[in-house]
Amino acid sequence: MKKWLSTGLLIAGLGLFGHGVYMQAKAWLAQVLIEQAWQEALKSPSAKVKPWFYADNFVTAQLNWPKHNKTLTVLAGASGRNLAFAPSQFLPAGELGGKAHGNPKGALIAGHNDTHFAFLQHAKVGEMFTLQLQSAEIQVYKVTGIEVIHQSQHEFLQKSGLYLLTCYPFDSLAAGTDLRLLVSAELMPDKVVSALISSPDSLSGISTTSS
Amino acid sequence: MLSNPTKMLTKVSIFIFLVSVLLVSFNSHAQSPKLELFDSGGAPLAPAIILKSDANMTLTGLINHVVVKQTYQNENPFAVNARYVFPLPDESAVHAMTMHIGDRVIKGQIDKKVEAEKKYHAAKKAGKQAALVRQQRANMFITNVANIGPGEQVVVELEYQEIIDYSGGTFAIRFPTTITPRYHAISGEVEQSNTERTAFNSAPNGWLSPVYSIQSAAQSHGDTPNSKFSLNINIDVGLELVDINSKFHNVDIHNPAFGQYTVALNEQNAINRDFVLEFKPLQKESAQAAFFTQQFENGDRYGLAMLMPPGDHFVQTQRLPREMVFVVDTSGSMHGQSMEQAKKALFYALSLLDSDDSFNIIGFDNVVTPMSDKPLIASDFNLRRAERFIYSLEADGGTEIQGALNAVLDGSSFEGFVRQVVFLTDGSVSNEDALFKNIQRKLGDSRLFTVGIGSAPNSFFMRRAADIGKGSFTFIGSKNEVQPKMQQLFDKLAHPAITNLALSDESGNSLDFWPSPLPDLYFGEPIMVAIKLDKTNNVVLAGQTAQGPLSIKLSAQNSANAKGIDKLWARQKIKSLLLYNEQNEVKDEVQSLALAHQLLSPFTAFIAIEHTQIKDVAKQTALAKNTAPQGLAMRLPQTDGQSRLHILLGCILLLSCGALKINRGLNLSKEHK
Repeated sequence: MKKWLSTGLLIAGLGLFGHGVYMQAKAWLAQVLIEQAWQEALKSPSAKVKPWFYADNFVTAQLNWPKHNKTLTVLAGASGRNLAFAPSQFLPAGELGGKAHGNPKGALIAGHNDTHFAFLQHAKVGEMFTLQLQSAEIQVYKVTGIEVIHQSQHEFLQKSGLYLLTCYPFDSLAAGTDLRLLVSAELMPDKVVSALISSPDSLSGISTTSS
Repeated sequence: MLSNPTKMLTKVSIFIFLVSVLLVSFNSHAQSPKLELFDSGGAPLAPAIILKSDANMTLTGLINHVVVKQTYQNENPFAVNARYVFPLPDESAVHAMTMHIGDRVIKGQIDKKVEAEKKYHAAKKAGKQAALVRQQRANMFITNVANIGPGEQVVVELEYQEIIDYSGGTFAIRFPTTITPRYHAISGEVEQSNTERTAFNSAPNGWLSPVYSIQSAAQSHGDTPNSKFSLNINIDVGLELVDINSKFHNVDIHNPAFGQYTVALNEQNAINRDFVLEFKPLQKESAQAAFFTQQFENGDRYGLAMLMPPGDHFVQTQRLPREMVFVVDTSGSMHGQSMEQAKKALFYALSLLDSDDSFNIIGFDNVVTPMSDKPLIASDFNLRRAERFIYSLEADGGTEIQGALNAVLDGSSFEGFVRQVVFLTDGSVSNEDALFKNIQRKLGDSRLFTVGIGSAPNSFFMRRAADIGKGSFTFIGSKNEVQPKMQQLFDKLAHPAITNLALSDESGNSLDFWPSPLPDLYFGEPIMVAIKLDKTNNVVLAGQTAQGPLSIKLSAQNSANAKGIDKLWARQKIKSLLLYNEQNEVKDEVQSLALAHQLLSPFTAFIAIEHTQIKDVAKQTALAKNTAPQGLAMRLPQTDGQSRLHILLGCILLLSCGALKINRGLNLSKEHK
């Protein structure tokens, strides 16, 4: 009896542990491949570069958040499949680039709350991060708001800006939550950006001084 | 010379005068208040307008005559213009519009669209009350009402006619109440029509913004819709009916006289899904053929013919193997109930395949995901594989039907087998015209069968696509309907169609009939055709069955009189002209046809103007809201991962397993001692 119990525990434990590790490893390893694809994509701005030869997705931008030491390459299309590999752009929302590229609607990037976007729970209003587009242009964004919303509330997409989204609460025991953590960010004007870039410690220092 | 006190007094009075002038000017400024509303997120809200809509249907013979009454009530303390985008059935011939303001009744005039728009804008600017009704696409209309005073009510009454649906021995009336948000293909061609562009200019790709914002606003305010809806139907088909039932709504049914029935909607929140009423003739044999005619004083005579060919015309001596391609829409608009219905339909369809059939499944959103590169034999192994594939389908992304069509249609012809494409979608696309052209070009020997999924699919797109694709359209409105409707579809797929249908008079002269060309006829479907008869009395229908040529004679001599057939004829003609030709080429013909028959079309509009002026010209436009289709919501992506939890639980289990082992080890060692 005890023997069966321990074997059962062993199998279930290994299974769960393995699955969890597999998800984490997939998220981490995929980023390595996707990062390589991104370097390729920057060389040919109009091409749709797949991270691996049989992939049905392509890279579209790169997020860089110095405060949390995060560099994440973004895939196009926030399907469950893509989200396992990388933060993904939600295509029904606006296009990346924002007002500077004549897109009046907000762009949305979603990521899993246990892997790529887990760090969003520590993000603070006033922090800055950059978004590199495939044209190699680097845009600087400043976090203007962090809130928890219901998944059916998407009116915010009508307002321009860049939105980062992940499921809320973090480390929850139940799956399929209807709540989302929404990080709203505003594109900084070019003047500010050039000032930032010319300053010696670049972006990392800004988040503290601006808040 | 004035004395000092008088001077003083003058100065004071001038001062008072100036102050009062200033005050008055401020006052007048304050007389046009601007009420600004904001939602919880700080985004400005447009003023709201209350809308009530009532539909009254009168069904005689095969023709449904409908009066739709839209009541616009302005509850704002200032005048507003109202705008309402609303759906009507796909084949509806809108032929009259009246505006009621209080006791005054203004009859709407049909005019060229551009002219009507000019008149409307002039009236709006001048502070006159006016109503403009335009057709945005075949099943989507826009009403604009200018200058509704504070607290005032304006009623816009529309009349349309349609031919009722008859398929598989069942009549059906469909009345759409809301619109599935349309997705503009990012790579697709944008519509030609100018007004379309101005109306929806703000969103060249992605969701159409006006419809979209209506949806999101309606959702955020919970389940209580802002608009009210009532529906009454009088049925007098001339046949005794059975099984009258409304598929998705509660209705009251009465039977006041033989063959006459009244149906009234009996439900509050009825406007988030299409209304469908179905009924059957008691004796099927009596509903095999019908002929209605309309005589005009100037000698014009129109006829409407319905004919259900006997079932044995569809029998085939030898069964040809089939290649079936199931194309399933996995775009974001399918999320929820729609996707569940589609999956259920696919599972059921797989179970109906024969072992010598081959099949493939293609999922598409903005990317096309085929199950296999080439068709697979319907073996047990492949079917199991297909089931796994269907199971894994997820609804997200945009609807790029173009890509899916390219993947399945390549214009090739086939020997020895039949290729049938079954297309499951909610059709939430808006570049319909470009898609129709594409289907027509690439169809080849394939046949396209569309299956409408969800509570408010774009049936206009699917009906037309099936017409051009020489297949048929099936509408599945709920999960319970999946099985019977898919069975019906497979009955059609299993029987060969009657092709090359055409009408002529007895001496073989072709007639002016529409739709033209007549679509292929499938098992259980009747022909419905409107004919300009004039002097002709006998009509011959010719076609090709699997067994040989078919010829059926219909006589107009015993026909019943009916009204509005000319309008249906013109409507069918406009539909066919636009379906098989470039829009620019047929614009003049369609326009003059629509003007002659007083019909709404892509190039005509109804305009009504009241010539007295109101006090304040409206500065803002309020959108009347549509409710979100039932079961549909644009969900934000699901991003909760349980990997950390799994690792944690795994560790706990492994630890407890380890603990057990150690425990047992200790026990064992104790026993040894």
